[in-house]
Amino acid sequence: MIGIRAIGSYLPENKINNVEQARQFGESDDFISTKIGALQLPCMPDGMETSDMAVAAVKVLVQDHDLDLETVDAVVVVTQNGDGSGLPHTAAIVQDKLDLKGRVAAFDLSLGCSGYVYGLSVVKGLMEQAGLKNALLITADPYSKIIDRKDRITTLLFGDAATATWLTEESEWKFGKPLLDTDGSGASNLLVNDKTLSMNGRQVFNFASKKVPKQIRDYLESNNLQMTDIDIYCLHQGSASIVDAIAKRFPEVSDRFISDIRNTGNTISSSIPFLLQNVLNKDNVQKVLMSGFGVGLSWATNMLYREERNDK
Amino acid sequence: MINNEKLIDILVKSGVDVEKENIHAEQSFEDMGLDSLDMFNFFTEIDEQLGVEIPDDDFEGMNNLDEVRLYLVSKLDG
Repeated sequence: MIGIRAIGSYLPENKINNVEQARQFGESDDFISTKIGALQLPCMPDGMETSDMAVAAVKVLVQDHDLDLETVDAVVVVTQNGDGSGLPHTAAIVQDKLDLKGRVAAFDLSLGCSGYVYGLSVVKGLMEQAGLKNALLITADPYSKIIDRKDRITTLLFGDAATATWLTEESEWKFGKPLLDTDGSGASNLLVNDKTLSMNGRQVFNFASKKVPKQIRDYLESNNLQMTDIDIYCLHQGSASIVDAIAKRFPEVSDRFISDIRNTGNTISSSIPFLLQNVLNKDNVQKVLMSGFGVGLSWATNMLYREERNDK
Repeated sequence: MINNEKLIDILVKSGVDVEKENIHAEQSFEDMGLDSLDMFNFFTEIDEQLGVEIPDDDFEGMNNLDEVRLYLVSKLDG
């Protein structure tokens, strides 16, 4: 069965000091460290493009996990801020920059913070239907392209990052059927107008703290799982506060919700795989529930579970 | 029935970093040291416990627990 073999990631070296940035808006250091949770925000430097971040993440798979680029037959990039103006699709540019030979499927997936959970199932379905062996699911959505640094609501929150997930049959981590939800009536709460991101923070917070716990409960119930069957809950890292708000709705297991955006900020679709990198190699972890939520409004939940590789 | 005691319980349950005995109905949220994210949590908790969803325009105008109580009474009794 197709699953996750490895995850690589890339953070730009260029970082915004978020504590200093917050002081300019009259926000306290405590607000940044405990509520937002991000002390610094990586920011794609001038001259770098979305595809460059994607390529850098894939190269980690090559260097650290022995990915042979000649075997890659699909590249999918989750982004809503692709190279240039988004045409052509960034996945085609990544295919070229990686110099992938042979027959390669490549396309972008236009989703925000739910994109990784969606992407895993989209790529797996494609691989099964088309008989593909090795695919790369890349997340690279640099919001620095659309943030107004004078907007307190967005500029303190988002950071740039990219991740690359290698999907293949020779993998230890499999995943189940996702639960996927959409409420387009809330789309105006998080959107781009005149090339600038606008967010109604209260409505997005309200949406996430109400809808995500319900979807997680529905997922557990539909899979006959108890909350305590899950070792790690890996939510999209919208902010420290939203992770806390969701976790406290599961008091029996709230300590199993991981929260860490200190050095990244909210990296959109990259936040879940960025944390998974450090979770999936822990021997005592067997089941990881992940849930992404945001732009759309869109929210998606699925579970990763460990299964011994049969090629070992 | 909505009273200040009930609202203080909801505020504490929403996870604010203020001791219950230091919460006063006429004191502004800002003076209590609450920030915007504390308020998001508080109003979400009100929504879940009392079933009252407070629109953005109304949310902006409430600065202390007394004002929230009066608003909720008008909604629940109306």
